[in-house]
Amino acid sequence: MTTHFNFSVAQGDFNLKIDASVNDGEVLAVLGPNGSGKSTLLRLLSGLQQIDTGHISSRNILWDSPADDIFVEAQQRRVGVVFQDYLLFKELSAVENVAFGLRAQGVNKATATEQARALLQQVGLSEYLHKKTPTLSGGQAQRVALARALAIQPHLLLLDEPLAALDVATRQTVRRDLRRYLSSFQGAVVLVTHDPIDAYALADRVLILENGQVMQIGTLNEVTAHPRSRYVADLVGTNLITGHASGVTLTTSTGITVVLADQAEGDVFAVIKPQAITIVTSNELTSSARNTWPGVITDIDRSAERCRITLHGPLPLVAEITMAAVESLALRVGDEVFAVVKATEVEVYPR
Amino acid sequence: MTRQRSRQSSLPWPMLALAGVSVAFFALPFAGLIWRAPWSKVTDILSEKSVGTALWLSLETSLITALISCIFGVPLAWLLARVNFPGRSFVRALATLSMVLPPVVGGVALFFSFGRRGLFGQYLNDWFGIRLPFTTAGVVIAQCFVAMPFLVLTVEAAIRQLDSRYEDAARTLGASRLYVFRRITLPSIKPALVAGVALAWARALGEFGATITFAGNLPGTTQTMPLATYLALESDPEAALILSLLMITVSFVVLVGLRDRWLGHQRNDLVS
Repeated sequence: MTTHFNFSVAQGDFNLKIDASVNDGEVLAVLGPNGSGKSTLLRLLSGLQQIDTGHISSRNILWDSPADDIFVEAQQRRVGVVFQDYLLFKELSAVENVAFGLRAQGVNKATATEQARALLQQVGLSEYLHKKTPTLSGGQAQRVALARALAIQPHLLLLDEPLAALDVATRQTVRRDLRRYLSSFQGAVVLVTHDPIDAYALADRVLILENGQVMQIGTLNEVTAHPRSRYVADLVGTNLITGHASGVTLTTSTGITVVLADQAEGDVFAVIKPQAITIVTSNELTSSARNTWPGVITDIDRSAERCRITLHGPLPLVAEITMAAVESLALRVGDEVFAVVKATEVEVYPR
Repeated sequence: MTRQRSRQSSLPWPMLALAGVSVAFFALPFAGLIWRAPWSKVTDILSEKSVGTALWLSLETSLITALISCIFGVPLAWLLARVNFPGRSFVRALATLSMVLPPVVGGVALFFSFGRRGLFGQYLNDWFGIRLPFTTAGVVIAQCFVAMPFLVLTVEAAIRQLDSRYEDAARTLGASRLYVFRRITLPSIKPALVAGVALAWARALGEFGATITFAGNLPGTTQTMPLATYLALESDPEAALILSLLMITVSFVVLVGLRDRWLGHQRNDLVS
């Protein structure tokens, strides 16, 4: 069973257009920068907002289809939502929050409380049943929010930046727990995040949303191996080059040529991994590498084991070299250097 | 080392002086009343039968008005705050018009619409035998017309300040809009609702112009405290003084009790 959504919606100048689907038991991460339309997507899927054209359906039931004059309101969809700030009802206790959905649907108080208690037990919160929610920690609140969303036995579970409100220390444990809960959930899951680590840890497939458009959709490996936008390349931490290939030469829109190992034709993307770039201080040495581009060092990031060197030049690049290499070449911000790349390290794929 | 100057010294004196004049302007009339009040006769005047009747009628009608304002005003406030419909600002202006209107004008308008020969009043009379002018029900109608906007505005402001995402969250959990209103919205606006009811009640208690125009001045039926006070001013000024002080005390207690729950100043208890 699948949840399909293929729609467009306009909000002022902003257009959101998405065609995708999520299977039951699958987690789709929607990754994108701020303002890409992620939150709007969640509002549309949950039924808090209507689409302009297209349709949204879940398990063969139409939820929203303007052409058929169908719109199922939020309270009638089986969609559980974990909101970014959790939005727990402050005047209610943890167990009352989780029981809220069942009570709203007419389940009697004793039954609803019993089910809520069981759910809170599953997420390890049996000691906090009667605590008012403002007294809970961030991680506990997140689990109450998850239990509250799961209590209505949703067909589709939406998670809006579920870990963004947590501090770094708790984020890791909560993320691990979340993965465990999600793996036992039967329905489809859409996870909205701007943190690629969430996607790595929790998602089966990734949808990259930029400016209201789907840039890429696929498994994590597919998306990260062949980024199709600067945003994805930056997320993955690799160099993306766009240009036109002819024979073994790629020409960028700014007129830079990149020598390729194999023949290619037409509009292409090329990726160069930062580790594949060698930095030299003079281009007078003879080398087997076919590509040499000049650049000025604008940043040296020493936070990781390897140093990431940002080069500004005709072809902006990020190179990754060892600390020892940085020290032996005495590299500083502002130095004029050359980036050297073997043709075999340039991976080309069609646009 | 510089020490922090005392807080008073940094306040600008022209502002303080002008504010002080305002305080005096509001306080002096009451000082005058209290100074002239025949304190020895207080118990005599308050135990007069006509005073008791007027006081009782005032309490009865103003409390009914507060209740009716609550029943009809809260849904109206919700509509104005949460539902985006064409002509919303027109409706809001209409619903609050009587706050800025001279109450006598309101009374005249009521008379020509709900009076016996009025646009709707004639049918109420012909079909149901209901006559509103010069009845206690007419007093309540007049008070509602003038007092309900206070509740509507207070509650509307409170609903607007609520984070509507909590209501969204409740809806995704399967709650109907009515259930959301009852379980989420209403508890969150309780302080404002209390303030709104108290304001409407206090306004109804002091209602004069619309009441005397629409409902007349019949002792026991439509003669409320403000009407009795006005009448007493001609026959028995000392009684008028005491009645005035009584109403001031009641209103003052209500306002002090409300403190900062006033329009727009209530804390938003829902958002952490």
